[in-house]
Amino acid sequence: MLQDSAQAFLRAHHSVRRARTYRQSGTGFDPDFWAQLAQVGWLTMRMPETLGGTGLSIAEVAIVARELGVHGVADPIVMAAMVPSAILAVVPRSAAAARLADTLVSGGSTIAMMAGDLPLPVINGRLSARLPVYSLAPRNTLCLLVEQAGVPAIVAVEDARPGVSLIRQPHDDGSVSGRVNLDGVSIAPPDSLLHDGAALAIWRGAMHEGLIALSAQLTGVTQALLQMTLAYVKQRVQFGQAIGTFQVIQHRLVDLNNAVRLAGASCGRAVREHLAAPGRAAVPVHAAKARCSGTASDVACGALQLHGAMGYTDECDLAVFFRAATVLAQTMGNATWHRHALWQRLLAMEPDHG
Amino acid sequence: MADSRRDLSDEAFRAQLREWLTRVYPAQWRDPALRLRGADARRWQRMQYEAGWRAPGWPAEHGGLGLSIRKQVIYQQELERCAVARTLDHGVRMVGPILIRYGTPAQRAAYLLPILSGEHQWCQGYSEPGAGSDLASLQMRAERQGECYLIQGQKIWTTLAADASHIFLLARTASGGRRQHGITFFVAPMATPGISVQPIKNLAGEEEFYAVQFDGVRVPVGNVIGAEHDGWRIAKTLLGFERLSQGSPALARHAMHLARRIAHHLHLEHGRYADRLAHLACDLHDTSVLYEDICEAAAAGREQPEDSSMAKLLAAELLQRITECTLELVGEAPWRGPAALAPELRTAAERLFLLARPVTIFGGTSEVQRNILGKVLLGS
Repeated sequence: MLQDSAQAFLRAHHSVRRARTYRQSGTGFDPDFWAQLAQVGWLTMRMPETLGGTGLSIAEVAIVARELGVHGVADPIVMAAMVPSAILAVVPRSAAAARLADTLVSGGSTIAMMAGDLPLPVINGRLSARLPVYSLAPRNTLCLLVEQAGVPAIVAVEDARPGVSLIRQPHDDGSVSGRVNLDGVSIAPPDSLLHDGAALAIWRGAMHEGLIALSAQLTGVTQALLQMTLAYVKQRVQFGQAIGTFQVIQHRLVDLNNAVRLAGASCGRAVREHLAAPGRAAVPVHAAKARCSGTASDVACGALQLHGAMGYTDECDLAVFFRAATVLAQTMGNATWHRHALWQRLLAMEPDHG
Repeated sequence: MADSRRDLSDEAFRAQLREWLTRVYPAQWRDPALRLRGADARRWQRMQYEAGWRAPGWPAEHGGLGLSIRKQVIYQQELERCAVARTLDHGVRMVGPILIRYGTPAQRAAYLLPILSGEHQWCQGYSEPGAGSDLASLQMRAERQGECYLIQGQKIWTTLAADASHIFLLARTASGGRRQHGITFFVAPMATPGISVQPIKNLAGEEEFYAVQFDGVRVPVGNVIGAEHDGWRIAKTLLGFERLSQGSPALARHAMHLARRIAHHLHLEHGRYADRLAHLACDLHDTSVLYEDICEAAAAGREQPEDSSMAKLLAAELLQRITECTLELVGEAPWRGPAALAPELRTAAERLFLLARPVTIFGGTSEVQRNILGKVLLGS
């Protein structure tokens, strides 16, 4: 089973200690771990075998992403590998696609995905823009949605290209996102993965997969936080008994557990609906990210509270998962943002007011 | 007819039921917030019985449809889809399954058919003035005297007692030892001498629940269900899918629909209520998905017993939050221009708000559901 092999891989190559080392490095990139991820095929899960991938679907991506969460992995696997791999799953073969695929197959550097889905205008073969990206490593390939001659395109550009400068934004879990300044960067036809009207839908479909995978990762983080809190309240003794025997503690944990169950259900529904209609399952995808982000924040803060002062220490393992939860909950839009997006969809879909 | 329905494919079963409901279900009853009582309840049950759609969970040899859990889920979905009104129907939901499991052949012969036909309506005599959530502390006495029991005491919060022809009740037949021991499960006609009912007007102004007084009521030993002193175990077995169906968010969906209509009429769906409405819409979406998952697990025989507590807790509290928001929306109307809100929408909102108050109290309060879930979660 994929879940079992994912757990085995993470037990062998990852630990809470590695998560701490990753965070302290400040680079947002652990080259050894990234190379191991490439070897086990997690960076290329969605890519076809012809490009060196394993041709799996979002269902398998979600299983692996959930385990990343359970184990407290903060490396940008979803945004820097799984999302571009979902684009490579559906674009036609080309030299640009092969180059981008090689980046993931070799595990040598990461792919910085542009945030958002508004195409950047390329004028006379030049691109000038300031844009946020979801991850930054020491070396990056930028993956951008652009518009050339009125037609959308997905392009891949090395960050070493003249006119590219990066502003790094480190996060509390050790991951790094940032802003990219493009100052008259030349964009040529060989940079294009796809240059036709389908580019927008493909981009959105890949972003939906990113939202689903992040939701799955959040369900894993949340599950881990809940489990360590359940274990803690059973062994922590105050007033002569384990605090887990107190009704007030039990009721709080019940509410957190119910939230975890809702998150799991919502994420599962998003996977199924996306598989049935890729890129068009906006309602369940927004619902999943809203739920998983909100739940992760609630469970992280609730777990900290139930751990007492111990929960507010850096030394406690809770810290690793607390940080992952709070950072991932914001990535690609927080709970409020996705609730709003869902609500707008509902208002547009069902004008049924009798 | 029931036999053939049981053997239909799920889709054909769904289509048949939908066709029948669409054809015969009266338009004036299409309201999930409505509860049919008295003659209306009997008429609807008789319609179901005569068309072979009554008692989906009962085994076929006892006159039910003998449906799989999966088909029972479909049955519930189709009733909800048609906005079928609620009925108390303790006969089909509780008494029948208990008699089928614990009753004697004579008891089944006496009660099952009149339940199916709607002739008998049952009410539940569990709660007492001093025994609500802590039901095991009940004090009603039943003293064996020859071939009868002499029952003395009071039941309270008995829903629709005045509509009922029969009551099932718990009374203490022994004391000392564990409180749960020595409780016996009885059935009795409401016309038995010594039984009297007093209405208690609820907050919505309706005579919905009653106090039921037992003054020297004589009940034959043949009216004991199961073994003497073993009533607690029998009462706790709310069987099969009925446990789970309490957790359906159908009423919350109905309430959300009303909230949206009112927000639309008042032009508040994009304003300062937007995030709150969005939050409720997300909660409804995810609660529905989780409920479907739990039903699916039950259909596949993988249900966790505590999941019905979770579903009930989530659906009940969600319904309350939606109706609270709706009432606030209604309160905005005077400042949203003249005639901005139709009076029937205001009435519907106020009615749903009140209807949603007791859902976290009956059938196990939310606090009791959290106790149940907490015990499972903490393994204590």
